[in-house]
Order: sequence, then C-alpha cells, then structure tokens
Amino acid sequence: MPDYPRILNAGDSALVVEFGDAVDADINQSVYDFTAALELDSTFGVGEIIPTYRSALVNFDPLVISHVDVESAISRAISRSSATDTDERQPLIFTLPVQYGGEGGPDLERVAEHNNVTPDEVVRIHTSGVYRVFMLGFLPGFPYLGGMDERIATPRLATPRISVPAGAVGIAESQTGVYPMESPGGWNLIGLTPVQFFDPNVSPPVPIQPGSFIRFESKTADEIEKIKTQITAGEYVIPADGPSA
Amino acid sequence: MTNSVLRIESPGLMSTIQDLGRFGYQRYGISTSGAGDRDSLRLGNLLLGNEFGDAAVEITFGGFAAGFTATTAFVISGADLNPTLNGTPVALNTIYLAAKDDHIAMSAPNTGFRSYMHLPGGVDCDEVLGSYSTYRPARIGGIDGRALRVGDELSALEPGRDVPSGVTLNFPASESIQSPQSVRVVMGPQDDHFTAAGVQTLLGEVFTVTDRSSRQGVRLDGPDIEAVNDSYDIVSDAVVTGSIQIPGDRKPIILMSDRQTTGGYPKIAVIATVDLPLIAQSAPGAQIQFTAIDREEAVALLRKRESLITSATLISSDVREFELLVDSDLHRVHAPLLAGEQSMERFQIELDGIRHTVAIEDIE
Repeated sequence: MPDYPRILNAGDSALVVEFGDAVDADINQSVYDFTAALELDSTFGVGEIIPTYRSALVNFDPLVISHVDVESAISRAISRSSATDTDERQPLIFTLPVQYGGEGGPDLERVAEHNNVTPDEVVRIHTSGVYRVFMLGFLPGFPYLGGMDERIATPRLATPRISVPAGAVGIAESQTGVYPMESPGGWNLIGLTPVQFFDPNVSPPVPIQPGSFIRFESKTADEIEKIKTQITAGEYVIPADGPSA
Repeated sequence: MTNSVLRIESPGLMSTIQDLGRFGYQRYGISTSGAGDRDSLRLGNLLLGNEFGDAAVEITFGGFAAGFTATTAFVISGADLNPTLNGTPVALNTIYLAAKDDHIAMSAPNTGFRSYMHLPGGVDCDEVLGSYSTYRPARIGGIDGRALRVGDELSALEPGRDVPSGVTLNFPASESIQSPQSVRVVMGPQDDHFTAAGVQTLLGEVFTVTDRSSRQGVRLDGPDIEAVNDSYDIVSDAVVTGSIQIPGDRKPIILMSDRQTTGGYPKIAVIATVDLPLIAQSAPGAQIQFTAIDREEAVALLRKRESLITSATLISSDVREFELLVDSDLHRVHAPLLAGEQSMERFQIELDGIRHTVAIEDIE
C-alpha cells in the first residue's frame, strides 16, 4: 500500500494529490480541506484545482512556476489542512425540494415493489438521508452522492430512457442522484426537483458546491409551483444550513 | 444573424466553433473544450492580427463548403484539407480577401485532420462562461452549443478591420504527420496499475487511430496493454487533456478537449503538451508510437515551442521602413501595408510590443 497523501505526475502541466484509494467520507473530506488550503495560498501560476472522490488534480502553467515550487505549495497545503480542527468545519447542507411520484417520478412504484415497501416509505427513507456530494462530473453539475439507504437500492432500468428531464431525481443500485440537464438515462426516476443544477448563464454555473451535502424534502404540487414562480423571478435560493441546524 | 459574412453550405464530417477553451469550471463537471490543435489556432489568429485566443471554425476531415455573404479577410490554418476559393487552391497560413458570393470548399485531407478558418476579430457567437468554444455534451458555446449545420450564418467580431496584405509568418512550417508518428508522453499518474510488460507494450509497439475517435477521445487499436491483476478500474478521479486511459478492452484512449472532467479508468501516461497538436491532427488510420520523456524535458520542449509562437512575427512582401520620433527617441520600424477598402494607405506599426494602425497621407 502506498503512503498517502502522495503526489503523482499528470503530464507536464498538472499534479495529482491522492489521499487514498477508496470511496470514503474521511478521505473525501481531506481532499476538500486540502483544496481549500491550496486555494488560500494563491500561488502565482497555479490554475484550476479539481477535487474528486479521493484526490485533487492541480493544474498549473509550468512556464510560470516549476514542478518543484508547486510541490512545495502542495506540501504546505497538506500540512495546513491536516492541522485544521475537524469541529471548525462548517460544510453546507443544501435542501432540495422534490415532488415525488406522479409524472415526474414514474419509477417510484417500481422502487417500492423491488424493496417490498410502500411508495410513501421510499419517500420517507429517501428524505431522511443526508448525502455527501463526493464530486461533480459526468455531466455539468451531476452530483456523485454517497450515503443512500440500502433499503431503497434498486437496479437500473433494463432499457434506459431516451430522454430524462433536467431535475429528475433517480436511484441506480445504491446510489441516488439528480440529472442536471436533459439527457438519456437508465436510473429509476422517483421524483423531480425544479431547482436548476446547471445554468451556464450564472457564475458559478452550478449552485451545489462539491464537498457539501444534500438532503431532499418532499413538497406538494402547490409548493413546487410556488418555488417555480420564485425561480422564474430569480428570487429563489436553495435553502442551506450548517450541520448542526 | 444580421452582419453575417459566411453561410455554411456543408459542415463536412464535423465543424464547430472553438477558441482556446473554457477554464475554471472543471470541478463543476464542465470540460475545457477548445481547439484540438492550439498551435494552429494561435498562429492563424496571429497572422490575421487577431488575439491568440479568438474563436475560429474547426473543420474536421473536409467535406466543408461555405459561401461568403460579405467582403471579409480570412485565413486557413492547421490541416491541409485542400481548400479552394472559387475553385482556385488556397494556401494555408495566408491572408485572403473574399468578396460577397465567393465560395470556399474543402475536400479530403492532404495531411492532418483538423483545419481552422479564421475571421477578423474571431467568429462572433455564444460566449458562455468566458469562452466561445462549443461543448456539445453540455450544449453550450458556439452556435446553440451544437456543431454547425447547413444554413448557419457566421459573423466576424471585427468584419471591417484592416488586415496586413501579402504577409506570412516567420514560423517554421509544421512538419507533416509521419508514419508512424512519434509522440512523447510523461508516464503516470497511474502507470503503477500496469505490469512492466504493459508499459513496454505502450512504449514499444505501434498503435493505429480508429474511426471511433472524436473531440472527446482518440481511440487507438493495437496490442493489449496489461494491467496488474487484470484490473482496469480505479476510483474515479480528474483527468487532463492528453491523458491516455486504458479501459477494460485494454486499448488506449487519448482524452481530448471535449472529454469528461473525471474518469474511472487508470491513466498510464499523458501526452506531452507540445505534442497534443499531433494527436489532434492524426486522422483515422494514422499510426502512433509513444516515447516516454521526463516532465522536465516535456516542459523544456514546451518552453521552446511557446517561445517560437509568441515571437512569431509577420513577414510582408509589401513592407516599408519608417523613422518615428517618439518622446525624442528615434525609432526605425518596418511596417507591413494593410489591406482594406480605405483610400489612404495604412500600415501596422509595432512599438514597444504594442501594435498600432497608422494611416499615412503623404510619404516623402
């Protein structure tokens, strides 16, 4: 087993800083603590940092800053971030309004039947979880969420849908997620959120930060309509609070 | 579009609008996109007096045809797709002035795979998150985030701007793609997922570009690359353009500008940045042989290339010498004549690295 964290070459203009080799909340938290520490350093020539499940990719311009200097900045950030008191972290929890079942959740019954529970029980279990956003990828704003209850795990559809709408909330095996944009897909769709996960006309274009948390809240059709009106008027902000709230 | 200069009659295999890419949003799952051959894009722009990163039409493999709807200058850079203007061959990296109803066409490549068509000031289109680049998976940039279609009308951002006439660049002509083409790589980040024999296969054998290649990835055919414990999965991590990933079919895929931001296959090596244009210009059937270099050598090669590009200057067949008195300092400058529709002669004069356009009424 290699010693973590370790720094690897990713070509001539990037380094990868690995904190482990597993999908694990502590490893993932180290990645985001490190990313925040390195961003605070604002070393000239260091560009985009891309945090993922268990590593962070650090892009830089090797004609402006040398590999050795970037490695020093990385080592400083590792020391500073590992010294951070875990109690001081205040990761955000975003609460996403979802209308479960009906037209927007055509597979809610299927998920219920597969797990021998009622559709209401599926909603109760799904809304009781707090899901870590391990990373964003695959599509703009697509959240890789962890921590779904195995009691509602359901295999993917045998035949993927040609078109899944933006905002569709789905389950695939023991993962849950939200489609940020209309695309083909084979996940079981249990509901629909009106929240836009990807809007290229605003910055940042994705409202959910990787490294934060998401929980889902069941809303009635009337409540969803009100939220949609607020979104159209540009007055909607996704409710977010700290872990103790 | 009202001020269009070009109407697409045939987009060919695929044409998209690309600049140097969209940076800063990869953590949100938004890829960089951008021209496959950054060097050709920059040199073509430099020649036309554009900014390095102005957007151009990236034309893949020929089959492209378009009609001019207004007078404009243009430059073709990159692959030689046998371009013609009204049936007459067009030279690469040369400024042309097209008139309304002129017609440009490109057929199959003579050499290379991707050509760039530059317009004054760059192509005017959707700027999204700081870039004009088309990123089709997210349907952003370019024209409605999609490839160009028959009937699309393109505008230039500075359609009437003066451009130098009869100029070329003092830049070494790009070498044509060799067969096999030697391409340099830096090993890692996951070369330890492969056996010594697997690494030897990557570096010792010849691979062929397949037709299942796109702006997202160049898929290669060749001998199997062996992983330790036959494991071709990793916990997904972020990738860079030029990453060589080896999925379960054991054949390399080189990730290109429209790649996803993360991937779940081990990456045995990464193409040296200086050689990325060679990959972008490798058509299906092209043969590639990889050579490993260390990162310091890759940076030295990149530094040399970048210095050639940033120091490239225009050479004009119609250049005049001027003596200018600036703050009581005498400057002797060589300035190329600009082509345009103005009655006065205009010259491009460079002083302290800043380019000025100067109109001259009388020359003694």
